[in-house]
Amino acid sequence: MAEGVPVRLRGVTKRFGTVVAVDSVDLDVPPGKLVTLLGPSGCGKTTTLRIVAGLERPTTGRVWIAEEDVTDLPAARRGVTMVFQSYALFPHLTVFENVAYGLRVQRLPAGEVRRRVQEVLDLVGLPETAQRYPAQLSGGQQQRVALARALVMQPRVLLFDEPLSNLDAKLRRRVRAEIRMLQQRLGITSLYVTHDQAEALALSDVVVVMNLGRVEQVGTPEAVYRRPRTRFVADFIGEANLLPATYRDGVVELAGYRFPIEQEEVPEGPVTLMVRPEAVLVAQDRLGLPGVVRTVFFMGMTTEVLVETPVGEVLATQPYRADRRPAPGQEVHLQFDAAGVYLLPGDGGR
Amino acid sequence: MARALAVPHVRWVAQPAVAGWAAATLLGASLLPWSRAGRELGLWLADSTGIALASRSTLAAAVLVLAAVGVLVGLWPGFERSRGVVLVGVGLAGLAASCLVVGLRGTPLGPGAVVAVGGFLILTGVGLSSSGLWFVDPFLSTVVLWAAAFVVLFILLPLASVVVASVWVQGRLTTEVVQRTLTSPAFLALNHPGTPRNEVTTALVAGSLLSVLAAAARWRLGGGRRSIPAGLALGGAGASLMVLYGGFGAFRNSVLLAVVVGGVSTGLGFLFALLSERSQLPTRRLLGPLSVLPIITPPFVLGIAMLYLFGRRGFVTHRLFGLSTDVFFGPVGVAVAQVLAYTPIAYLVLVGVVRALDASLEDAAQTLGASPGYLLRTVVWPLARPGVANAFLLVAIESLADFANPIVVGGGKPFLATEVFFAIVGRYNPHEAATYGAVLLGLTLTVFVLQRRWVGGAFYVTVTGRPTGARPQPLPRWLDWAASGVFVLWMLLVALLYGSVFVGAVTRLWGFDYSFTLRHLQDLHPQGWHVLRTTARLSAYAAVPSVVVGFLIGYLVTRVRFPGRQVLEFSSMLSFATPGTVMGIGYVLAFNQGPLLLTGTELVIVLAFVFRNMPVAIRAAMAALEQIDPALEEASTTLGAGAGTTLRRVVAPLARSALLSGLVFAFVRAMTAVSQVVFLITPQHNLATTQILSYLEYGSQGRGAALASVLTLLLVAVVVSLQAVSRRLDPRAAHVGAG
Amino acid sequence: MRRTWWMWMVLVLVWVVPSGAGPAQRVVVLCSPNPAWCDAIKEEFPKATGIALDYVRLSSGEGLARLRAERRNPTFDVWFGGTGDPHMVAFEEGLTEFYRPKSWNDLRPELREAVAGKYIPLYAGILGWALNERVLRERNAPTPRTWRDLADPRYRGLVAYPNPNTSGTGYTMLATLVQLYGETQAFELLKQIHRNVAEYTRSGAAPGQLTGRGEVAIGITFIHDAVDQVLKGFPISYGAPRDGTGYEIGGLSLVKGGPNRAAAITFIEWALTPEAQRLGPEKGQSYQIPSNSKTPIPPVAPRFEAFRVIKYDFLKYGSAAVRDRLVKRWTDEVFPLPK
Repeated sequence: MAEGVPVRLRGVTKRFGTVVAVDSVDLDVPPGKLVTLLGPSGCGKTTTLRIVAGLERPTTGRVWIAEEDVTDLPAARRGVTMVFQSYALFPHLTVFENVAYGLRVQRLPAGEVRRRVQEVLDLVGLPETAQRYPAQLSGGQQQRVALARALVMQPRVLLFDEPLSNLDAKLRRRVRAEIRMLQQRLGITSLYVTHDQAEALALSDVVVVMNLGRVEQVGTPEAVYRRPRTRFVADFIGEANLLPATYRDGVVELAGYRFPIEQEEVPEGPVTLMVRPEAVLVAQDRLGLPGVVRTVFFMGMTTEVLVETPVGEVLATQPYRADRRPAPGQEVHLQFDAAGVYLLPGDGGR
Repeated sequence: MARALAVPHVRWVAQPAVAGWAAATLLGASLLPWSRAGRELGLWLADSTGIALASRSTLAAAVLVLAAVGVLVGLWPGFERSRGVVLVGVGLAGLAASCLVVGLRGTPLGPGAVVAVGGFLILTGVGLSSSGLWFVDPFLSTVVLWAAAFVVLFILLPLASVVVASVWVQGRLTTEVVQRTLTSPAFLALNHPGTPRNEVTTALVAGSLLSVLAAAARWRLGGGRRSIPAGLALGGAGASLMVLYGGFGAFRNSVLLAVVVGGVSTGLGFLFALLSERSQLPTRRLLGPLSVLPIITPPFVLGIAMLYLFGRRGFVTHRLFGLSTDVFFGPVGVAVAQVLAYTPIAYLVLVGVVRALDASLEDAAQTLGASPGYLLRTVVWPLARPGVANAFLLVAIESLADFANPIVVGGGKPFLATEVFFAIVGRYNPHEAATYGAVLLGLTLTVFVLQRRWVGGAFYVTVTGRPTGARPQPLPRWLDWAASGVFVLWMLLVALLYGSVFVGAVTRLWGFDYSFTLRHLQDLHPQGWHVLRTTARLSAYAAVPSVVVGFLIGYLVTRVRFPGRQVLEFSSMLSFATPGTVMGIGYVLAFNQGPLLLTGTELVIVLAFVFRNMPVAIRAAMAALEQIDPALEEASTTLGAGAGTTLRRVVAPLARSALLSGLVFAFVRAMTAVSQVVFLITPQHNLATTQILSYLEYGSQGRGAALASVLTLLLVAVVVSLQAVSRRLDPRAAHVGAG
Repeated sequence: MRRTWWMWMVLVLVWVVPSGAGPAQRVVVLCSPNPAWCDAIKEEFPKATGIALDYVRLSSGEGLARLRAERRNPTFDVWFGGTGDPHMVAFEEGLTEFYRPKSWNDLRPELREAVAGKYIPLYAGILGWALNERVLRERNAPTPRTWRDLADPRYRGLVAYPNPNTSGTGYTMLATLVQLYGETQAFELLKQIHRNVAEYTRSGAAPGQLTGRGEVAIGITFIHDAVDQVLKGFPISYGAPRDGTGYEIGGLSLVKGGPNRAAAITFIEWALTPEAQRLGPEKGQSYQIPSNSKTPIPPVAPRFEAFRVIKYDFLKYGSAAVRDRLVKRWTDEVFPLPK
């Protein structure tokens, strides 16, 4: 099994004319780990990925793969393969020839090509499609062929450019689990670009949140979700209520509702309180943040309640209970579960 | 999985490919002769091999030493980036030394010199890439250098020669020829000396009135502040045209002709494009053949046929209607002949435009209550404008460049293209020809720049593609019928004209004795067949390089970012905007002496053909590349393939059908080329078009018609078999739907 | 399908690629008469000598320009036919050399003397016009008799005249008028005729052809070209102005420094034989008086006795200085005038 190699970016900036697509990005992908670049479209995540692939050259900054400076090395010689958003399967070649393409470029003996292609097609569960053309496969199958074509090269680094965005929601879950399993089994260092935070959280060892060409936060999925460093991260990953509050001596206060919080390094004074909707309990008693129910959305397993409070609207997700459904206009109090609450300094970096 | 691709990138190895290229350069440069004994391509000077030269000239020795250094650099297991830098140095120095050797010798180039220059370009390209100075695949960096060399040598150099020749006379800089030519009444005179009134003043007065009217009209229509300059521009253009109309001379004739032919052809082309996309009448099917017509016939053949049918003794005008009119003899005849020949070009451009007009947009506008006129002005026109401008430009350029129709039906009136021709062929005054050529070039470039400013940015539509696709909203019934009527009339006219050519080939004496004879066809032996064969051979030679060069330039311009790309793009654009006549004289001036002596050889004709095909080849390449997802190429790259492999194994197979049709159309267009090559023909390399022209001109109408018919039928066969083959070759059609 | 495609390709290639086994020797001819005549020599010369022949058809003015352009690297070996003046200019400028053929003494003495050893006479032809009487009748115009008649406004748009820049015929008319009336008057007359000219043609044969088709009524041309039109069946007549007309002595010249000198000499010798000269009327649609006195004069050929032919000064009007000056004057003063 290929040993995982580290990938390192330092001070990478890419300008297209006057537009700065990537702005002095530092990034470390630990050996054998899967790191996700997450952000809205236009945040520079795809450009960063293409810089690692060698398809773009950074305006300034350097890229290392396995401790080797590859900034000037063309894509073909980096030992990096990529799974494209559109799969980029060669329409004029069969599945077998698609997968064999890179091996043939290396002029490997025919026997070895056949063996390795078969192996990898087995690995992705498509041994029987070898002689078909890409246009004759379903979207999911095409996606797996693309993956096979990247894997068969036994790359040092595997890159994914939104590989699941063309699949329907159900298939996406299944394929994402498969990708994760394969990646962990093969131990290939992987960089994965997506704008879907659920995908990022489910797949990654490390999530890198990007915005406007800059890295906003790096961390494990849990850390990024539970302890967002900026308002943008909090808002982009999952749903978040961001409320103005004050913090003093381990106690948060907003609109008269006070509760203790255990969090290090919070400056005294005005803060922004992030509360995940699932951490809000709509209570019938008189304890908590007062408010009036505006709208109630029935979501199946859960109910979403939008409550107007003195500090702004708050979204709460409640387990569905037919007997206790808040009604619009009802006066309620909101209580926050400490596990889903996090304080951002000041106005949260708006 | 035993062996990993991820051979970590090892930098301390030799680069055998570099050594190989350098060795080939060394071998070729030392063993092949650097000079030819004369014009002929096969006459090498045996004592001009690199080895022989090196013993006499240190410069030549330096070339060989540099190539040898290249071999060593390739073999030396050194650090890649520094090796790249050294290679760039070796390549550039070798290039400079080779050019100096060639330049100082001054004798016509031999293969040794070509190999040396090409080889050092490769070394430079590979060096630039591997040194990291240029973040581009080594294959592409080499191709960029080669494309640049091609563009400089075969586009920029000839054009520069034209401009230079007009002011560089007998070794000194002078504007004398330019002045004399431009002040000559044959070029342009605005006032008629034979009439008392002053035409210029009259026209200017009328023009200013027009400006005011136009400005006022736009103002009333709500044009706002922009209406005044717009009105002035319109009036100014109108006044200039009126002034021109009152005058005479080659400039006047050519400009008016281009404007009229451009306008009429664009209008008709738009009408036909509407028909082909939206008609519900069966005549629509005939539009396919229409698009091929102009390419398979030399443009002047229709002009001749027109004279036979509608001249003073024309079959239709005189025999059927008893008229005696010479309306069609002179500028009007030229205009009609050109409209017939060039409307299909406008049509092909505009079909793409009409297709791009999204029917749902029109629906949306109509549901909002827009009247048809308002719809046309606010939705259709802005969308169609770039295409219309493009069609007008292409037709106007073709019209300006055409010299055959003015010669054949122009009644001896001067036109810019014919004056270029007469100046060089009749009076052998290359400076005067160059002056006319420079004016022609200036005109087309002005139109070109105006067009690009007006529509903003490039606009490409393939001229070789077969129109297919879904059909949007049908035309209003009355319009459908009216336009179809115009089209049917058109087709009848064209059929009649072609028919008269074919009939003329097998009748004794067109116009008087219509009895059947095979005499003219028999008379094609030996000269006619010989010329046809030569033309086919040279056109075939030109086809492959046309497609390869056009495809590579199209690829570089659309897919690769590199410094100087805009220069390359602009230079290849020049090939769109340069009239063939100008390029033809440029070739005569640039390749008539010194190391680049090429006139009188097959090669220069082949090169002229390649140039003629460039615009189409580039456009076809761009259209084909638009259909290919760039991610496919990137996928190939990340799988370890170099750009050369990617082009060969991914892009070329996907563009296969486009490449094949490009190949055939390159062949066909070369077969019917006139203005580019009329200066370049030699006894051994006479071409079918010029031969037909001289038969027609010198009284052998039957023989001319016979040769034209054979040529046309041959090309029809070629195009038809292409369509049969390319349908089977379409890679997508082959694989989709089978599962 | 694929196989047939390749078969087609191979077929095309076989046809297109030059067959290697042609005659080893070749001669390159600049050919100025009727292209049919050029075709005829291309066919017959190899049969007679085994030497291949390539030609380009250029009017004599164009031929001269081409020889001038290629002075340093001539591509042609022989200049065959065309009016004599450009041949003479070419000789003066050192573009051609005089070669005295073996059959020199067989050539008609009056022709030999007129050209004074500057080129070889190939044929003689008389300047005149082709007339389309039907068109004249339609326009109620009389039949012209003299050069001056051509200035009559009734002929407006009915005259075709070869451009002296490109055509030896055109220059012969220009020089004839100058010799008849003096230069000033001749140019005045040309300016008046200019108003009537429908077209200045590129070649000297074209006016006859236009007259034949009825595009014009009067085509200035060598009479033998008009004869060709008549024989082809066009309803025209021909004649020459009664106030006197010029004539041409068609030339044959050896190009100086041409690539195939030996073959060129073989060609010249062959071209002067009666067998070769008979090709003109028989296959070449050309009815001049052949230069070799042993060649039978074609019965239809116009003869000197039938017309009032002036004593054309070939030496003066064939000199480069005079020719270039007259042509230039015409180009500057007459050609651009409005009609």
